Amino acid sequence: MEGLKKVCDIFDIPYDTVGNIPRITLLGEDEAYIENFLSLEEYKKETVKLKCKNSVIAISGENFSVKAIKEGCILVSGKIKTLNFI
Amino acid sequence: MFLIKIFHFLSGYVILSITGNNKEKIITNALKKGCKLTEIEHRQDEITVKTRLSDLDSILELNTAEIKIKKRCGLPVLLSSLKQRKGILIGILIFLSVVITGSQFIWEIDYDTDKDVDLAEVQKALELSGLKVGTPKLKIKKPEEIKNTILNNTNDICWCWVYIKGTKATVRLRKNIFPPEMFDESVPCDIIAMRNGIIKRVITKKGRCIVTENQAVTAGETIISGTFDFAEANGYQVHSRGTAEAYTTHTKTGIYKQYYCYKTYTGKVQRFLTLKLYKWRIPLYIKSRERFKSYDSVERDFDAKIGKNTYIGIGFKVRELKEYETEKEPISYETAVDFAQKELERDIAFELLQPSQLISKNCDAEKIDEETVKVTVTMDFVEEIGTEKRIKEVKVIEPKNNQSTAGD
Repeated sequence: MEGLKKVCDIFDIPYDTVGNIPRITLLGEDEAYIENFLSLEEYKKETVKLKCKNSVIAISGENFSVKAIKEGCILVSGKIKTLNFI
Repeated sequence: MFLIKIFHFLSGYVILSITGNNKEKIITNALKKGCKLTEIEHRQDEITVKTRLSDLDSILELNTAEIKIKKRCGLPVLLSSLKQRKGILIGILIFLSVVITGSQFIWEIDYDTDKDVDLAEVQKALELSGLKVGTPKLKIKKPEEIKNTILNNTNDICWCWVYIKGTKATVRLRKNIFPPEMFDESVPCDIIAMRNGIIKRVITKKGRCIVTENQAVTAGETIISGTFDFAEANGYQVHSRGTAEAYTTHTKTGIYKQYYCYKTYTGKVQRFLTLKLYKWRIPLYIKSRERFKSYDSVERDFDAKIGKNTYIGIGFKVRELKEYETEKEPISYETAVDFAQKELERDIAFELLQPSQLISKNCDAEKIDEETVKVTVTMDFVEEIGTEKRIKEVKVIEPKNNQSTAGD
């Protein structure tokens, strides 16, 4: 991974287009759109855990619901309090 | 979101319930199979998921024990259920065909008119133009032609138009307001008194004044005569012109109560429902007996419409009776007299000839019993009481010499 990142830096290539790393888009504290995740690890009203290539993304908050999900992308809505990489 | 919901309804969807310990794993596996999941919600021990009908089989293959179908929704589901129930499908088709066929006729004619319009005359004119209840819409003439037929076959209509919205035709009519009848200057006439009075002043412009100041005249009596008796031409007649002012007295009497009545609604309502099916009215009640002694009646129409105005000929008519109780609030003697005086003065004002000038007024009140008072209002005016009246027996004998016809 580190090697690939260095190559991208040398050739000025955006890293997210090459590596299968998660891309997270937050819409305020109400919605989170996460791309490039591998699987849904845990889904509860207070937590959503998503397994990615090298880590697990843990979102915690209140009243979570998944508005839409398909392979590699998920749209989580609710009140987001924290977002951690485990 | 609304458009997405419409799309989901049209394409059909299933709401699934996933239970057990492997809920997240089942969702991940479904995603790997290319299924699209929406509106995933966590409810106690289960997760509900909305998915397309086409993805249902591949999801059920994962683990049928922990996945349950909660609800199938959407147009394809409705249509497939109708396929199994042919009776309902046939019923719907018959209903639609009845509605579509029925909407090709005129089932109601509404009139938007001024007061005192002779509707029977208008209805005859409408029938002449081919517009009546049950007429196919294709056979209806253009509004211009209907308008012309109405105007040519009625006497007091000055404007009309026909609007056709769905199965309802609305005929808007306006009554002709005729100007006051004007006599031709060549028609001989007298000026007569319209009501009793005492002559104050007469200004004669043409004709011969035959009354004097302070003379009492009765209604119909001649004030300015249009007939002259000359030595050479006896019975020469002219069109009289002039004004006649007279003192008139108006008296009105009324009996009034010393209390004010107002309604208090009890909240009890009786409804009579009638089905409107094209030109037929089918009552949906057994007895039409009113339960209340005092009530206000309100009629409301609930018409089935396409859009805002297109009435399809089917609907309901509700006659609602609202019970009320009349309560009395006592008012003082002075208030009752004051109220009565104002009302009687207003009544007198309607009778006055114009122009008029108030000279004096008097109000007498007499108590009949504890609750009743008799009020008499007397008002004196100066009014112009003269009006033209055609001289019936016209005898025009030309004078031999040119003599003036102007009166005194």
